[in-house]
Amino acid sequence: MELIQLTDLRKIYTIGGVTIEALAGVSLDIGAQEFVAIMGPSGSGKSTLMHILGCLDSPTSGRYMFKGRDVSSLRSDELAAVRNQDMGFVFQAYNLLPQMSALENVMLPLSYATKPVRDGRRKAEGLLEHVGLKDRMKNRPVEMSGGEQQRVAIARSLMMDPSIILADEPTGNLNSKGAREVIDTLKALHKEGKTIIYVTHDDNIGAQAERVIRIRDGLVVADEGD
Amino acid sequence: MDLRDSYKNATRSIAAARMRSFLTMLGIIIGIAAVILLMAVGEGSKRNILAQIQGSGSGNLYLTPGAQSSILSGRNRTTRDTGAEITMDDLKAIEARVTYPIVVSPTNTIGITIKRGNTTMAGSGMFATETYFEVNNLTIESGRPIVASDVSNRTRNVVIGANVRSTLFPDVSPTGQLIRINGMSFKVVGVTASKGQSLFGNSDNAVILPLTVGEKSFGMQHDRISLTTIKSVNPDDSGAVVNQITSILERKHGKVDFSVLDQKALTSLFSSTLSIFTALLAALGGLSLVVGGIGIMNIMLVSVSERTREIGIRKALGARERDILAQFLIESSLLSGIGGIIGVVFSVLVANLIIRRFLPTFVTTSSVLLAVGFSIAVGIFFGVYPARKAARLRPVEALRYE
Repeated sequence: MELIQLTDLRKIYTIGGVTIEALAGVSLDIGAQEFVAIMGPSGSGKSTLMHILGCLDSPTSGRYMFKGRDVSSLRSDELAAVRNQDMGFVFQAYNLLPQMSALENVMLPLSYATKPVRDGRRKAEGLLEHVGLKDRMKNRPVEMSGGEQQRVAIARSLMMDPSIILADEPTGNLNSKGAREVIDTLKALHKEGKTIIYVTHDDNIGAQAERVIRIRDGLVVADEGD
Repeated sequence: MDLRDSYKNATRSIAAARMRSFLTMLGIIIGIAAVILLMAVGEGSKRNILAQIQGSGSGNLYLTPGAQSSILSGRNRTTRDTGAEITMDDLKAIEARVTYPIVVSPTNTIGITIKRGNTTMAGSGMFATETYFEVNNLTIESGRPIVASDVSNRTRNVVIGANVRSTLFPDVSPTGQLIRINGMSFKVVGVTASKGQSLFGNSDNAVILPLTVGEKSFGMQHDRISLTTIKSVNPDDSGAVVNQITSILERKHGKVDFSVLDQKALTSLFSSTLSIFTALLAALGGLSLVVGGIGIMNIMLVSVSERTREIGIRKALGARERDILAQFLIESSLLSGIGGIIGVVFSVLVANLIIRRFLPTFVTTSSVLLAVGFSIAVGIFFGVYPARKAARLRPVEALRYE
């Protein structure tokens, strides 16, 4: 069974009386352990797709089956639980909490865990070590480079052992060195068996994935595997 | 999210905006201080007055004209104001028919000007009989009291209070000296020992004159008595004496156009009136606490919109609506709770170290508990709206917020 099955997914916004169809009927399947890039120009609907995949937003119509469960119509608390358990997010702007240390940021998902996690602190330390930030655990985000901050965010996304890692333009704010560090980290995670989906508009970054899904005007226009 | 984490988070964000948090708390601190201090003053004066009632002699009864006791509204109200009157004839009937041992002391009071040589002072003129001293526990320091013959002969002999003596006779013995009261000449025959403030004024500032002189020289009707103090020689009889006086006067007047209060009735009368007074003061303080609460709401709204992105991040990581709600409610109640505790400490110090010098104050435990409880309630109440606003943010929109 596929991890993700989307059937005729639509998302329609009304902003100031103007109706915008961000997704105009997307159907696709993504299996476990895939390494997928979603690409498209800005305004193509790729971010909207990403948000719906991550249960941060709900579709207007269509069906989203996640691990065999229809999540298109879940209540906000149920969606929160799915996000906590199954989704690991990496954002373009890192989205770390500035008042907390790297370690505290990585441990933050534990606060909302619906089931207990043993040795959370040790696990968070292990994850930071894994992304090469063993010496930066006590540092706050402002004391780190962009690449380092994004690796903290990746460590945080792994905290709850999610089914997928969803990265929205993870290299968008980084210089080439930082971007390479981040993409290498994602690749390494994929080798370990993680399912990774990321959004980018950069062809070089997109080319690193094993499967590239191209979106334009809210529709899938190409879906190429390696 | 467990509670310890929540408190840690809340204290951290309160500490992150130290000045703002303090100013927000200041509203609560002032509100709490207002509640506690106003209640302390209310309670202090209540206790003070009740203590004066206790000290006024446990067997004393107070008879005033009018069905509503005029004690609370001022003892100078006369029969003209109430349409009812207590006469010397009434008092004679009481003395003759009450079967328990009693002492009856009729008094009328007016404000007077007392003058000796070039020194003038204001005081009160107590028109009374020879029983006045016994009933009011007044002792004579020098000279003699007003006696029965002063009353029956309408002599111009007076007894002066301790303050009158020290003001007008700083260096000579007053007995036998003349003073002028409202321009008329009187002879001082005695001085009372200082007694200080009591329920019915300060006897130290009074001049006691024979009751009958009031009619002769001050245009008063001595037959209309504004306040009669009746001492039940055995305090245990006072309840029965009240009943007898009531039935004697009711039969004589044909209706209840007078009031007799014993110490117990007087205590409860004052107590309930003063409790209303204290409650009113507390309500005034409560009003400023509400204003402080609005300040908290204001700051929490600012905080929610400043931290929209943080809310989005927390939601992306799995925070449910109730987690976000709890986070902001804990923060607002912590702000008001800390403010409340500072307010309590501050007002207890101010009440005991400063205000006590000028006014009787008494900080009750219940006022402290009320104030702290109310302050936390204010924090929660005024925190709910901003916290709900935060909790209901949609994660996508919150994350998009710059």
